[in-house]
Amino acid sequence: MRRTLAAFLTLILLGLVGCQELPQKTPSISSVDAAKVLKNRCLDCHRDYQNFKDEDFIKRGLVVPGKPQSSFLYASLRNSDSGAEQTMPPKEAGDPLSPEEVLALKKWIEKIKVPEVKVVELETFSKGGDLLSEAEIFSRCYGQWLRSPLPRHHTLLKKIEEGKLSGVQACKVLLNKASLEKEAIVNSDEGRKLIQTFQSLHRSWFSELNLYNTDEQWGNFEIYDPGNLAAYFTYSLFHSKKDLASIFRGKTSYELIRKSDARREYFIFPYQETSAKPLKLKNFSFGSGEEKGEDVYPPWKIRPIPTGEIVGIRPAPKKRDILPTMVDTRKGQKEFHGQRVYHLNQDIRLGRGGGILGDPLFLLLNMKMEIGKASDGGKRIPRKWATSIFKDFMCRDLPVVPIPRAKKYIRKDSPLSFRQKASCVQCHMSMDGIAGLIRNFEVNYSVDSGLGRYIQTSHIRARKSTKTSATPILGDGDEKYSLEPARGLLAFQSRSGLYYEREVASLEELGDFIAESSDFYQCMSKRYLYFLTGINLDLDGKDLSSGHERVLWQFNQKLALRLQDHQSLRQLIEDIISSPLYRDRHYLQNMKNEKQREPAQYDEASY
Amino acid sequence: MRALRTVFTLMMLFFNHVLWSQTQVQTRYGDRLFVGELLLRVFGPDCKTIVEKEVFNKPHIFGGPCDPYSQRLVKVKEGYKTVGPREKCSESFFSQYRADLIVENSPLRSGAIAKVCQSLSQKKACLNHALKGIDKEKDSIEEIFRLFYPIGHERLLGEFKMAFEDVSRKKSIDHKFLLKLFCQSEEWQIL
Amino acid sequence: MKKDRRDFLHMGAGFFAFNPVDFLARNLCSLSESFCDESEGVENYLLFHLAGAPPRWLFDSPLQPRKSDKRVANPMIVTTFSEKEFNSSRDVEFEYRSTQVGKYLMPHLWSLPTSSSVTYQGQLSKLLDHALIIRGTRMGVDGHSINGRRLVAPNPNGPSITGLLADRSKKDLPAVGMTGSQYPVHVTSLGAFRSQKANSLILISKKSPDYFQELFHSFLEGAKGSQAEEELVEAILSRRDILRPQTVKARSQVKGLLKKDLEKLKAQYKKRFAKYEKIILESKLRRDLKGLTDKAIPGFEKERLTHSDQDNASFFLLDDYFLGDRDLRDALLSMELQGLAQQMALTEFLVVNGLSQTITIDLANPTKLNLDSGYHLDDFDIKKKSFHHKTRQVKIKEGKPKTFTFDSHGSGLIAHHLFSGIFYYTFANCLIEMTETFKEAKDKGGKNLYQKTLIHLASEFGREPRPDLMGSEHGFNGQLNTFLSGAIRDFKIIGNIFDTNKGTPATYYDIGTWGEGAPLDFFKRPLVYGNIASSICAMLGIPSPTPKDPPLVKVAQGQIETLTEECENVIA
Repeated sequence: MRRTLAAFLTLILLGLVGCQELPQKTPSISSVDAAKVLKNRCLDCHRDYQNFKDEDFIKRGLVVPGKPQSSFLYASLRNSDSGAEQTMPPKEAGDPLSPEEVLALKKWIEKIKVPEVKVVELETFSKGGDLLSEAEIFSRCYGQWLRSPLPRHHTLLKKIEEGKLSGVQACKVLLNKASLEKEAIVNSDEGRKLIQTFQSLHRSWFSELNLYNTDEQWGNFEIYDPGNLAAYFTYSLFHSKKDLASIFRGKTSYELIRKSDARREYFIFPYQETSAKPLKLKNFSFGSGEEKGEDVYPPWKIRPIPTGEIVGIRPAPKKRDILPTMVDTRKGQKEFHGQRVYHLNQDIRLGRGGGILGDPLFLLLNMKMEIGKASDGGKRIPRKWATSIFKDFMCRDLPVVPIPRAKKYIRKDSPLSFRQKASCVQCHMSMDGIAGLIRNFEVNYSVDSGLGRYIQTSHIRARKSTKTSATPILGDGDEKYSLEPARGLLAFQSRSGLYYEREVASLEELGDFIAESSDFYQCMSKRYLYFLTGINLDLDGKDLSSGHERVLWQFNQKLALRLQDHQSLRQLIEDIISSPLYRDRHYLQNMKNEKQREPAQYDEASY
Repeated sequence: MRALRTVFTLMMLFFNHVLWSQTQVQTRYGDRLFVGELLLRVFGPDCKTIVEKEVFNKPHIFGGPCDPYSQRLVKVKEGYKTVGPREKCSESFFSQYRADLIVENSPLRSGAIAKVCQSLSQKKACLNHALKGIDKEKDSIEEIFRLFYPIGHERLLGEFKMAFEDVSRKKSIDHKFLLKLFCQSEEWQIL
Repeated sequence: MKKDRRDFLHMGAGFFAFNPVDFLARNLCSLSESFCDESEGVENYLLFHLAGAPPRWLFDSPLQPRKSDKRVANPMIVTTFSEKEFNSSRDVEFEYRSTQVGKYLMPHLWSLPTSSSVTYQGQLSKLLDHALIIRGTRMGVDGHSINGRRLVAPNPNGPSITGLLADRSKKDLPAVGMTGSQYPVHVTSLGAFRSQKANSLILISKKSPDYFQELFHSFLEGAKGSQAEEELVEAILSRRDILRPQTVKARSQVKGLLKKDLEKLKAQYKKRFAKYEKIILESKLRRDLKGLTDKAIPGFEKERLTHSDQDNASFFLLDDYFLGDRDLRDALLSMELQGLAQQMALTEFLVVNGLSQTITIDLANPTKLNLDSGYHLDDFDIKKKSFHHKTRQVKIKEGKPKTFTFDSHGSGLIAHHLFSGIFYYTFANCLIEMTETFKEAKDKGGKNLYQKTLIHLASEFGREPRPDLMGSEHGFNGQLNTFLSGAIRDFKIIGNIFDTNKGTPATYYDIGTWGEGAPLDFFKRPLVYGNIASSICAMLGIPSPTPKDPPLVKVAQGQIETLTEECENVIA
């Protein structure tokens, strides 16, 4: 260890000494003032900057066009107001940049335009390849987005054959058929199929869709549709005024509008396959608790989820689904008698802030805590919620910080084993840290359905918090933890290397952070790239990849940068289908990574 | 063993870096809805039962998750029936609810397509619907090809035509056979 | 030293936000076959999931492995009927008796003789010749669904163990699952299947009348045309540039399967099915099993309803009913273990013919027991303090108790002991037949199939007997895992349990030795399921989805060896 460190320091010293002797150029970037700053304050160590143009900074993830706060180069400056870890220039190298110098860099980055999505190398891959015709491109997007073969006499196909439209343009027109701007319901058959397909795509991104977490929550399936989480994305896609970032803001949740020829009579999910008779909805009184000899609770006029074909999406109406009471069950199993009842009159569709992060359904699916048990900041923390945020929205698996960062949170004297070792703390600091934001929430049952046990509904309940905080964020377990004001620790290093470690006080703050992180946009573009082309990009393999993959990575990065700028999923789709990747019939099929099955060896079985 | 692996890893890191990325390219197959609807279009609505059984109800083979909230139960004489739009689930909701969007080719998929093509071309009503309007007197390779490949794919058509010249020079080609062949050719499943 | 290399890579690797050595080591196997520990590990993984979590005290839960181990008795934790005659229901009594199996004492059941249709004739303990039992895993949370899924997918954000095996497998039907329990698929270990490479679990429903048909119907009837036609299709489609390369491969595999005489395979399957049917039928009808069915077990007499002494009344309970008025062994006559014969037959078939890598079987609890005479709990006027009314009301028609379920919250001791006892006896016989069959199948290298197969018996959690002896509750901190494989050298028990539970969280306090997990010196803490998952993966030579929880075993020269200390009953 010491030897390696010594070698490294020697290299740095040599670098520092060596730097000052050679002449330096001014980088040829789009801002003269910023170029001066770079030359005078950065080139001594970052010698390669002198040869960079704007796009070189972008390519290396140092700069996000138009967004200095998200740019590694700017955010790591001491004196910038970025909220990320600020280390540049290092203290040994001198004073921080002056406010004017910081401003110059900020202005430079703000003015950089997002690049065109063209990646030159992609063109060369397709050279000589088998290219799709305009009609075939339209047939392709039609089949992918509607999951239905293109009818031979389609009006748009005619226009293509007459030379009036290109394939890509026809695809764009097709996408318009599902617009949700004017009306929440889409009337055309093609429009509905579009909504259904993209809903299916968005739903596949969520790691948890099973409402049955612990015993006796079967009723949840009748009043919650996990697909409504995916609706945030589908709504943004088909509503041009709904920015992608709005998914992480506010308290409005979304619901799918479904159409059926008749109302449903029975439960959606059977809770036992051996039930000879499916349960009738009308016999099921959610939360009324009318049993012989028991207390009667206020009945709950909940509207069970209607079933049917998806025909539209809308924001969930406020105050329509009010839950009157919840039971404080201390034990894991249902024992209602003598338990405290909370009269809450809670709108179960209302979010808790941070858009989808505080969506009651997202919370319910991911909290994974026993009914009635509150977080204690030690063993009992809703960790799955935190890991789902990283995975579902940013395509990141834990750990999301490098191991040296974990050292400061290690406590060898903690009774909890996962606070003692660096390799444990490395994940727990991010998970437990963020989960502190929902420390006040717990899951409780509504009251007995009257149809016997196993069928209850469970909901998120927020406990009233005190004013002051005393327990540490990464503590050992304390009953007071769940009663304190919500606060969490954001410990996160983006793929580009920007490191954040700071307290966050609300779900909105966390939502803003995600909405501005490049990881989120790269995740979105990667997923759409997969859906449209079958290319499954490894976002972590950038530095270790072959030529082909590096080009794909750069393409994805450009898509993500543009997405962060225009905030439109529709534009993302257009960027992808306009690229040579979409036009190439055997797009990069010669890449070695396609796994092929080998035939098994068969032996005659004689025994 | 683990130590040796680490050393080897470091070596490989500096030399052959092609292996390490996990980027993969899957052939972008259409899912059960796409495949099923194309078959229905070719073979006609009389074949709905076969296509439903062999394609729509097999998301684990063809891909394409279902949506249990799209359907509802109704009481019929024999018991209960599921009624719903094309996204409805058959049995075992959750495994289908979380089925993959894109499922590549595998022996099961190959076998399933072979089976459904065989079943459809053997049923008279379906066969007649598919071959409606096709001149029985001619070889009609292109017409039958176009049932599955209405647009483009000229190169593939050329390959098939060459194959027929090589392989079955003497016989005149049975239309039912052509139908089965193009049905099993699989390129039409790829989007 | 290892730490130094890691730190160096961190400094040099720039944008890595995680430990690259771990990442690479974990993924090396999926990148290139030469990095897999395949030659070392076991290949096939069979999970028998006893869904519902029946108590296993009379089966494979060793609560007192050695005479010197402390065991605090509990009236519900018993392994055999007592030896005296039962003239009336008042006489019915139980004991905790053990039998010596290898180095350890195991519950009495293992001393019973194998069923006469089983190829191996001898004692049931033969099954434990190559076995590893790991006691005392703390699941941490309660819930059938959560814990059932964790059995194969311990990390909800990652692939399942079954998924990882399917991804690595070259077999035609890599992952197969068979339903059985009353739980819908998505709350069982079957529903937790998750792969990284778009593999899926081929699911066979317990409702299917013929499992072989269900699996192969794509390749059976209707798939083939005339010989000449098929050849022509092949000739054309196998030409270059007509099909994509991987499709050609897939078709050749289909051809391979079609070429195999499917009729012959079908006959082979049917033979196996008949074999297991016979074993099951015979096992459940035996009337000479000592301590289980060797004497009449009188049911609760009607006259006892009016008396106030209710000493062993709770024994006769089954979900609010008292099993009444006849030799209770007669209930077994109509007992059905739905799907078990098909499940065993198909599992054996798939493994022996090298068609699958991992099979997950969801076991059904006994149904169709003849339980038509009973007296409802409400009929009683119970004054004795130890006999509480249950707080929940189950609405059942008068006189007919519910079917016995593995999730035995309401099963008194007789129902539990007799019905699950016969189930375990039958199941053990089937397993012996299967493992002996695997031993017969040798490959070119001289290894037999049993050495390449890992059988795992697991349920979601253990059980805690209720103090009122009217059933048992979820003991989620005392989960048990039993592994059977030819690669395990002999019979070993590891894992520590408390002699009685005095700590939380548990449902009850100080109810004796039931299997609650106690700390191991090896880890300075009790076992969690991540350790079990890592152990399974170590045995199979695949990366663990929970790498932070170390395994308890390692594989050396094809043999599975334990790393931890000898099992111990820890004083609470």
